[in-house]
Amino acid sequence: MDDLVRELLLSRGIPVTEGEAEVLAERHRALRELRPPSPGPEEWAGD
Amino acid sequence: MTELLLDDALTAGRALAAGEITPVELVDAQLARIDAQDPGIGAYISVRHDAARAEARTLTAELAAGRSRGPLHGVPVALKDSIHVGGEVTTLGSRTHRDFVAPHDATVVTRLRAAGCVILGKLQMNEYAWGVTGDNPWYGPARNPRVLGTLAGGSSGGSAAAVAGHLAFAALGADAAGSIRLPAAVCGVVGLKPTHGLVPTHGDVPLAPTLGCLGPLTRSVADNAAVLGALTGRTYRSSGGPPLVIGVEEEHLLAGVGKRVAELFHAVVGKPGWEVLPVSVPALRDASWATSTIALAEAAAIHHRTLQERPQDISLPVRLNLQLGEIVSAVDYLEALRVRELVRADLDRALGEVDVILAPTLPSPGLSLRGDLTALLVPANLTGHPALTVPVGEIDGQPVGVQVIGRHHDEETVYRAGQALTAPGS
Repeated sequence: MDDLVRELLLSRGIPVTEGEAEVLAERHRALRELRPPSPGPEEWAGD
Repeated sequence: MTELLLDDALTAGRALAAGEITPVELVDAQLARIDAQDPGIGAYISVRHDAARAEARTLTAELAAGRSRGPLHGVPVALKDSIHVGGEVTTLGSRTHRDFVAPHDATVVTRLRAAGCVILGKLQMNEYAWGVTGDNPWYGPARNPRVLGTLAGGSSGGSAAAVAGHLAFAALGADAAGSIRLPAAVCGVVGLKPTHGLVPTHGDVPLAPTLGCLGPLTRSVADNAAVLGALTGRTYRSSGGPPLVIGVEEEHLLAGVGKRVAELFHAVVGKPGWEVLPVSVPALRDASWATSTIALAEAAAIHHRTLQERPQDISLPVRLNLQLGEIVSAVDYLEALRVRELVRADLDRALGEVDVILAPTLPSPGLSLRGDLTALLVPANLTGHPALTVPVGEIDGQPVGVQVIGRHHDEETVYRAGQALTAPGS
């Protein structure tokens, strides 16, 4: 995951160190854990 | 003169209108107090000595000629340093924008000037408005004038410190995730995050534009209503009207709140003689995730080029937040926007049962950095509802605030509840 984060940021022209990528991967994981389950498409019908 | 500096904005406005003091005299006294006191507080990034005096001379001449711009004519105020004053530097509390000269006045500045306010200067803030501490690696900390040795909170730390320290009669701050209400509560002053879209944000560099609002910090609820009136061209009464029905939401807006803050909250809510009803807003469970996701992505978009070109000039904590925003997926951002609509609808439904919802502003007294300091604040950013914090007491010498959340564009009812909470005997 750290490598993916680093690669993604570098591909967007944003410098990032290995240490920063490690921290970012952990924070990204923590944020994803709070994400509610994705609904089915019917939830986007606006009812 | 010194006593007047310790009073509120409307009292100063009345003294100015009565000719007991001129705008030039009041601004001179205010600048002298800033020069003497602010080195120990750190509320200001820049002080407009000459420009403020020039503005005060114009306003003094107008009063002498019998012309008044309103109840704030000649009252000195100050601005968070994300808000443009044309031809002057807007730092954003950053190293990257230390020399950025604003091309024009923000709309709020134009409106404050039209109401007769004198702009004293630009106020300290967390770098790019990102942070809750009131500390800043480039400009130093904003200290809490009410509690020696502690920080003012953020991100509008300078705004709260200036008002609490009597270094301005009112200040503007910006609030995308509690950044007006948090430092206001920490410093024991009144702070409003208005309905999203009510106060124009043109000429303010936001943290996250769909979450953020500009709003006033003041020493009284009536002052806050007066400044909001100047910003919107409307009149807001903060007293009178029919008895209010108050809602209290226990599951999320009292979750994680310390025992003593909860006890003070219940004691205060029970006092003013209004009807108190329990309300339920289940959708609030996802509010913090949705707000974080939106804030991260929007802030990254705003600072994308700076992050590419000058990352070494951004402090590490803020840089990490911006980098994290770069890897929030579009899918998650859109899901957060969907959650926003669910929370907004649920809160609207609850506010259909009561006039306002009350909650503690912060889970603990002062600026405890344990736990999530913004959990009780971010729902109103996510949904756009107006939210006011008022000081209601102290615990161990630390101010404690109560938050009033109201219906969209019903700031008047929010102010009425805030006034009742702060009224003597309440």
